Amino acid sequence: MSPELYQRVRKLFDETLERPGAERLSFLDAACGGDKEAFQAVRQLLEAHGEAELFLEEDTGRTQRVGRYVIGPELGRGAMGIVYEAVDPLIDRKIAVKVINFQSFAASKDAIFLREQLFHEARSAGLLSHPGIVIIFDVGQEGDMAFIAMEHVEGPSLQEILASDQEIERSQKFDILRQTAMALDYAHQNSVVHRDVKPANIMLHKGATVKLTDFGIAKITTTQQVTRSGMVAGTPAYMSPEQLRALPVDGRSDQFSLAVIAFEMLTGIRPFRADSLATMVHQVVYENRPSARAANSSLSPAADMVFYRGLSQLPEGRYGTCAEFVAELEAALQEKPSTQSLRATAAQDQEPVSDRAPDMVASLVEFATVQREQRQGGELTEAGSPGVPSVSEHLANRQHDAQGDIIAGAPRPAPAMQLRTRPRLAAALAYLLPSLAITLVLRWYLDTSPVTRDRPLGFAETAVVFMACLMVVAVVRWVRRLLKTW
Amino acid sequence: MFTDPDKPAQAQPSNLTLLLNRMQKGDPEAGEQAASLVYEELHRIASRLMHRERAGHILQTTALIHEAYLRLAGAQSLEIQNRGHFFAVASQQMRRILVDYARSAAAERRGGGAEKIDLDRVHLGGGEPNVNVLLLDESLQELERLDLRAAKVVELRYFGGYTDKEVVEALGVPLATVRRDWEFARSWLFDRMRGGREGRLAKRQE
Repeated sequence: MSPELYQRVRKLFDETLERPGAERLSFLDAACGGDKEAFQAVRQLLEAHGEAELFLEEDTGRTQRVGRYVIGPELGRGAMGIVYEAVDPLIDRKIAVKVINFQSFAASKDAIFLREQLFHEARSAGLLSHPGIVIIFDVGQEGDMAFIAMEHVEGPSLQEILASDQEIERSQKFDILRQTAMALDYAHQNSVVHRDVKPANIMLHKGATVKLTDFGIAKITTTQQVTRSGMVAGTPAYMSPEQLRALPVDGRSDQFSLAVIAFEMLTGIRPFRADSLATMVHQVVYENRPSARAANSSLSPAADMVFYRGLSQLPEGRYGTCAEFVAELEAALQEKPSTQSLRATAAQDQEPVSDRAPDMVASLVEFATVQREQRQGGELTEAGSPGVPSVSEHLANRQHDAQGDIIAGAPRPAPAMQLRTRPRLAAALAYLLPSLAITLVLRWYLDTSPVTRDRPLGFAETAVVFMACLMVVAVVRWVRRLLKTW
Repeated sequence: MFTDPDKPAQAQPSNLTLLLNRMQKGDPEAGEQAASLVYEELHRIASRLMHRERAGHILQTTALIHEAYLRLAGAQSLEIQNRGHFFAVASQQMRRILVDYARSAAAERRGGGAEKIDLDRVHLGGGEPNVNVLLLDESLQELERLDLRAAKVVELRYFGGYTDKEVVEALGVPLATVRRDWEFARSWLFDRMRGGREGRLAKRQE
């Protein structure tokens, strides 16, 4: 096309396009005034204009959509997918959209299962409504991609805060832990388990309000990733033993993860660290819990006790709720006399001493000693952060008041001194009573049986039978525990 | 190329500002330098994204340019006039990158390098691209010869992902003109690319 013709065509096109659709052709015809070449060219361009519709418009970054949501810049990415900032054009609301590509996760037949799982989980998580939980608005699917539309939360995440060398005050740490615990407890009451509580999933909206994200979604990825490659993708550093062993989990699994986070926040290191995945899994599932106090000497022995419980191998060893764990931990660090009895209850509920590691026993002894010293001298071993704001103290007290019903339901607190004797006695009785029962039954049988009736057992023989029974009981209990652990 | 360790980290942004300033005063060498600076940055970001991405990832030119802008301009944002220049340079370089990728992807298909990522699938949008970038580039070159401003509008809007308002800022023409250019160029390119009579006519004439 020559530049002269182009100029004419361009002018005619612009003028014609300004007319209403029905008048265009007649207008063009008149405007061209016999210039057939220009008329043909413009008419063709007008046709093209009608057909082009969204040509070149659709693909621009501006109008990229997932579902009805207009996608904006990327916010972050995880093992599961990429999170974008987005806008819901219907109500002009800023949201976040997580896009999950199933292709990268599994073969096509698994993808359907995964999608079902995802939708199921998103539905149950979508029922949660709590200020500390990121709201899920919508779930959908587009091709190989599934997406979750959710509340847009301005970070930073706890992970970012921990990674930066920014100092946080202890009161602020507990503020974060407390809010997280409350949100988790709320979810647990509604039978939703988070399954992936880690600093990256704890968002601090405007730096203050905790918002938990990725509720329940980890169920799909973790199991899938574990079973597919026999390995856990990502870091299992925050996973509970039952989760690593692919056993059913409940809210207490989240409590374990929260305890790991609390440990990290207070000591600066994670309780479970290893170069290899296998070593870490072994640490979490079987090994003795490390002492938080060893990592940060300013912590009280009582804090170690709370961590031992929060990080207990078996869910039964942990606290009833996450809030209880956090409150106990805070109380243990503040060393408030009013909370000592509570801690004694906590310690008393521990598994029998025989099942425990030597360092655990040592810690118990130390704990009791320190408490005795405190009663005598009235001096606190650990002063906590100097000058704890009165507001946080007040909050801590309120926390305990709020727990009133839990305390009321628990057995009366026992004195700290009984701590070591009671579990040992119970353990001994657990061996002696069954053995005695078996011996008596055996003796009664031998005495009444027509074959052996004529020769009653003497005392020494009974004692030998009793010892044999004791050994059998011990072996049976040992085998049972072995089975439980494996 | 080695970077001078004594140079402060902020050297680059001022670099870009300087280059854009000189370019504005009509220094063609500065324009080229600014373009290659932006191209390198865009290329780095794009290839990083593309190598990391699974197929089907939404790679957005807008976000890409935005990242390049932040990197190059640093904390101090460019002056309004320079911003407009940056838009123009960035979309031009984005176009180059996408065309380069499309070309290498096509070469790879011919060469049978199967395991590489399907780059032209990644380039824009989540699904199959419905625009052949190479053909668009060719047609756009033709339009440039006839109507440079209209071609620039396409470059800014399509390759740069800019809004009408930003195009106004970059070209310094009224909004109505930008809209008219856009509508015309879209129709012209559409007609051309589907090989309409117009296109065939033009080819015969050449």
